[in-house]
Amino acid sequence: MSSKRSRAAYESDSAAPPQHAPYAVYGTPLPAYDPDARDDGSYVPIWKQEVTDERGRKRLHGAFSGGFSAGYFNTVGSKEGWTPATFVSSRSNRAKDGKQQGPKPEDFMDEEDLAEQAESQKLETQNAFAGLGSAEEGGQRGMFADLFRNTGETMGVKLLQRMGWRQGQGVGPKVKRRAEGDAKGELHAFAPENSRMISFHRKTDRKGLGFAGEGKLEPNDGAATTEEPDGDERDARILQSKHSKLTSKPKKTKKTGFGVGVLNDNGSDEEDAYAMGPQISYNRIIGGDKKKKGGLTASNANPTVAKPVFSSRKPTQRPAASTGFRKCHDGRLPLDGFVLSLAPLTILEETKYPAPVIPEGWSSSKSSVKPGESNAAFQSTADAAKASSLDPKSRAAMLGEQQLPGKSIFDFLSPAARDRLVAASGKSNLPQALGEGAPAGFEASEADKRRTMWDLVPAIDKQTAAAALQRGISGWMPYAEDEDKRIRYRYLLELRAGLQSNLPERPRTFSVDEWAKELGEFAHAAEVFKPISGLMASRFTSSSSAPKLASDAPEPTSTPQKEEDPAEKAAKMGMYGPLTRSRLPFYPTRLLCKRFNVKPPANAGVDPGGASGAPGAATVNANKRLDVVSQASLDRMMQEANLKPAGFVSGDTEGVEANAGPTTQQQSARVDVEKNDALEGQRAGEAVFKAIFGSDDEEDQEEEEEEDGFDLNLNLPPRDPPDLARIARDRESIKDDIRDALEDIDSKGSFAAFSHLPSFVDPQLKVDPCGPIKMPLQDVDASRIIAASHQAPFGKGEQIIVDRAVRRTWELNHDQFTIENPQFAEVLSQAVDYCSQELSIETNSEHTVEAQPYKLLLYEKGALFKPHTDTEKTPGMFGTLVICLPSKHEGGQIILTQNGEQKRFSTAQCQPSFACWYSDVTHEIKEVASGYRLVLTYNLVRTRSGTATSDPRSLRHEPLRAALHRWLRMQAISYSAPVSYELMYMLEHQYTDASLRLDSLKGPDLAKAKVLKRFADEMGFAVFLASMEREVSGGCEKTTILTTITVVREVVIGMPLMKRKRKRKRKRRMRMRTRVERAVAPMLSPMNLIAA
Amino acid sequence: MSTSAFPSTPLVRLTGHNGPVHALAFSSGSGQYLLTGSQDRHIRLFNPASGKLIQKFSAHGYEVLDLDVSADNARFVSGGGDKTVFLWDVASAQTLRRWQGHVGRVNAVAFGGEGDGVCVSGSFDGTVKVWDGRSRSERAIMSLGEARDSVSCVAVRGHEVFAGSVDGKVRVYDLGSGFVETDVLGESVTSVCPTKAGDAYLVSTLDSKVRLMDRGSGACLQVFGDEGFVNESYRVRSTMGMADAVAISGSEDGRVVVWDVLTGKVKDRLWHKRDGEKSKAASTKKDAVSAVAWNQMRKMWASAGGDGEAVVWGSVD
Repeated sequence: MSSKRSRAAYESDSAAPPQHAPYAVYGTPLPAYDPDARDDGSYVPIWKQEVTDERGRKRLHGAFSGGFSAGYFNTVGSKEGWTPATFVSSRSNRAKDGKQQGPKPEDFMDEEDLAEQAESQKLETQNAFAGLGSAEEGGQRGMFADLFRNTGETMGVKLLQRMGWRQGQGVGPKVKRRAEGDAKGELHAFAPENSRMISFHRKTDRKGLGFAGEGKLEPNDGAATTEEPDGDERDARILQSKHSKLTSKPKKTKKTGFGVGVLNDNGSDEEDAYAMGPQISYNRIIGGDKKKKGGLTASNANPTVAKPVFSSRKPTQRPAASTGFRKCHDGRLPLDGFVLSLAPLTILEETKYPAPVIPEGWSSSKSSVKPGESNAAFQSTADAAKASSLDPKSRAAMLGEQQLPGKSIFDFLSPAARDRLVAASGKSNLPQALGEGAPAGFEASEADKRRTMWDLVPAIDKQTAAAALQRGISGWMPYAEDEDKRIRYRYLLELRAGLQSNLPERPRTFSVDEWAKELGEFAHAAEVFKPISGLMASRFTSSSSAPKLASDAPEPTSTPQKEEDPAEKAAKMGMYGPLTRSRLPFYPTRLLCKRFNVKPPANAGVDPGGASGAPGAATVNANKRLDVVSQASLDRMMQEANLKPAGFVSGDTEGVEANAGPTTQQQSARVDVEKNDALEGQRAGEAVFKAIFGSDDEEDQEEEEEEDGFDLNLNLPPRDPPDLARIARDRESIKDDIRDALEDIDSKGSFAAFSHLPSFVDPQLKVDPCGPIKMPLQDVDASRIIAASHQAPFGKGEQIIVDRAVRRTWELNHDQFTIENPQFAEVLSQAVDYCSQELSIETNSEHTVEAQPYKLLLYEKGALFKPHTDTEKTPGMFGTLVICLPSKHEGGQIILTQNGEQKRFSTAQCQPSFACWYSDVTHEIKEVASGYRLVLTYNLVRTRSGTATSDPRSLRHEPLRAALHRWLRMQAISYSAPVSYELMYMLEHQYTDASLRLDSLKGPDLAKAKVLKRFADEMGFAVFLASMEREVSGGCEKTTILTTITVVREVVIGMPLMKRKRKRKRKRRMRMRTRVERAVAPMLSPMNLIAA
Repeated sequence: MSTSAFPSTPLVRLTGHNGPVHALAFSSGSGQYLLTGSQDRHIRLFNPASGKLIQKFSAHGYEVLDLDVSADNARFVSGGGDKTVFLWDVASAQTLRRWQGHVGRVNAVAFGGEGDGVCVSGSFDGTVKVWDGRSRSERAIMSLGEARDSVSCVAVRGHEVFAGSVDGKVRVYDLGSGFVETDVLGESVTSVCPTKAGDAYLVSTLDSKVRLMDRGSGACLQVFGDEGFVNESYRVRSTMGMADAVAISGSEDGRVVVWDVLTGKVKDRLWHKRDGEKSKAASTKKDAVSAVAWNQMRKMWASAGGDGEAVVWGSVD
């Protein structure tokens, strides 16, 4: 493989030995010979080869030499070889090959250009062409003119010239003669005289010989008829190499008559029209062909230039100069008595020979029609049959059929069928129907019958049947209401799917027609319920032809057949319901919804400026409209295929999804000019700030390792120096907010409850030494009880004392009496249930409230119990239940006070009643005026105490959350200013140290504590329960006995400490702890740390 | 309920129309008046008891095709060939609004919304338009263009707009949910009449059937048909009567057929046409009973049709 050398390189290769012939100019020259260097034609490894252009420059460069590197070692191939990118098989696409390569100029032309191009494209020869059928409309030409007229050199001329012939010479061997005018000179070989070609002109006019007539206006049958040469010329030109149009001057129109015609007016006014005589031109020269010839020879001067010349003359009016004296073509005069005809020998079109007359009486032997039959009209077979006199029997005989028994068709008809025939034909005289069976040998066999029945079974595509069957298996199948029908349907599907082979069974009650009709319906149903794939397929139509180019003529395509909507089909079949129902979103405008007093749906459209809004919605619909039903039914089919009874629900969600787009758009479009969200809107969540300002956890990574329950991962941006006054205001408002929020958290429970027992069951009380006590209480029994009992003490601080001024009651411990009646337990449990409900004590599987018998108390006349609170005698005790047994008394009301709220329960009636209250409720028993008041007291205990099991999410309390958030935020803003790190909140109930636990809190306190704890966990607060004592000094000593043991407990909300100030925080935490401890110092009970 | 007698006595024959009567509407509530809309471009107000013509409303330039009376009887709405929806003041017999916007004749009109604040119209142009009667707006509040053919009837029940179309579908636009539910009937719908509760609707189609369709599921609850009942080419209206216990529909042969809703059986076949029983002539378009209207309070109903007469039916007692 040798690289090509350019021509220049080759020529300048002066060092090369002159081996090359100077005339070797074609092809690629071989390289110069160099005995040392290898021959350039030899093999050069591929990596050494270089591509150069015609100037010897490297064609392909690497990136550093400023070019490009192509392909594989500067080839277009690859390691694997070279494959043309678009291989076009020349076998199949030979004809198209040229057309499809690249854009043609026509592709860039507009219509005008194309029209222009089309106009310029006329099929014609390159030169004026010699021979018949020239494209030029030459008018009427002579035969030879037509045959041999040429304007270029014909091959014959060329050949003659090669043979030494020159223009103007005759053809033939040279003749030895003397030169003309030189009679004595020596002989020379001269070319023979040019002989003229014979040309025959038929004279078709009646003008005198030689008279060409005058020019006149006549229709031109061609735009520009080519100039016709004169007779001589015409004769001569046969051998004329070139007939120049240039030299042939325009023929002057021979004019006669006076004046100037329109045609002759050359525009010059000087000429006097009447000065010009009739210009009759006569040939005044006899035999004046010499001059002509000179002209002719001169006509060869420039044979290539052609100029169209207008000539209006008829060929027939050609002047025939010196006609009578013309010689024959061999130069001799014609024979005596003959005159050379000059009339053009034209073959006129009109000379048509009539067809020969057929001799009379001649007849062709080839005629196929026989004379006899030729006039017989066509007769159809049916007509022939009608005309035939043959009866069926004779026909049968002719055809050789076996004779049927001589019976008519009526013999085989059933009477019913005959009746129908009668009804149909209106003839009543039809023969009697006998209903016979078919004759022997003609009975339809069972198989035949079957076969005809088979014809009734509709054809279902195997796939369709299988698919419909599959759908039936996987889920939905029609005819749910008629199991038998469904079975038949299934059978048909199985049959058509190839699973069965027997004829579908026909129910007894069905006629064949009905049966066939039902089968048809089944087939229809199978089509309708064909599965998704089928539906999908039917929604697409395969392209019937290749994509069309714009230039392709539009094919007259038939509009595709519209697929029938499955819903329509179902409607036609009367299967209204899910199949015919579709659900789509639409976009009611807000104004419309307002007018209908309906809350606008999520997808409500914008209010129209009339047409401006509504069409928007309408367009959406219009766009969807195209595939509305089929899509919807598709979805339905899908749902049904999955056998989701709640398929319609999913339809809803689908709709909602569909709405999502428009809805969001709408929201983004809505702008409230009244409000600046950026300024007035709610502050973004902490996470946002965190994301924006980043975390500075890095600062104290090492400290992070210590686990700290007080940690709060809040990273808030530092702010400007705080406005202290504002902070103080804020703090107050935050305290108020938190307090209000906490106040709002209220359990619906009350602190005490009272009710009469629905039905009294005698407890069959049995007091230890004195036996059973009858109800209602008699004085005797009362005194017996008193005898057995002791004076009830009360606790004061940690002591238990008896002071009849404070408490004057007889009591029996619970081991001193028994309740014999087991039914009383039921009464008790009812009472307990009521109490726990009223006090809103949570009871569930883990927590049950139990009433533990405590005392039997007997209040006689004058007995009382001053205001007090109960002590919690057992763990888990939260209240007291008092059942007042029927005993007539007056007075002895229970007065309960809690947070300034007072309740007064009267037990005076003989009716049994019960009351309950939280242990911390201050209560007193008024003095009993008369009679005895006998009560059973129980300790209400929550049996299994634990933390709340209710879902903390249900305790969500948004105002509190917001307030706490604000507190947090404010804390973050003003971290350098004095901050309140703790807030305290007084609980409603009072608790002993033992019960100061989250799960022992009561009613509303519990609810609040739970909410707080939940938020604390969430936001990083710490919540403490602490007890606090308030000393009241300066009051009367006696009245403060009870209050001094009152312990005020508080919830201490620990403020989260910020990570940013970690070191300082540590100190603060310490401080806070001490402060809390100081606060509870008098009682010095351990803190309960809920957060831990 | 089906045992109670259907008022099947023709009480009054209202004449004077100069062309077919296309629309009938009782005044709301007690049904003290009866409005007829006719081909002769006029709307007439009759006393159905006496048959006296009380008022003639003339503003239409083309035939009047549908009417609806507001609940307070102060206004009514009409639509017709002039592609315009007219809102009328009954007392002054003047139009309050003339809403233009449809590009085809208005086939059906109905009041809707709270206090009948809007008018709903269905047109030959295939749209249902909702017009605001409260504002002075000339433009429709909403145009519902789902129908692929002429909308032949509209009805409003609560916040649901029913629209029956010649494309064989009934579309129920639920403004509350923002969904349109389309029930395919298969044949061109000529009339839609929801039940009082709005849980079903009566729909007439051009296959000579009247169907009671379940609003919730789209299932067909009952099909009403009769061999004498013809509805194949004209817009024949049907209505529910006797507290939705019967379905009433005119027929193209000059009869009115009454069905029992529960059983689906024909309850009555009544001749609206004069001397209907006697005439043996083939029914023409003049015979078609195109409109029926029921008034629950009076237990009275009316039928009208191509003969240009309206018949008020009631009980003899």
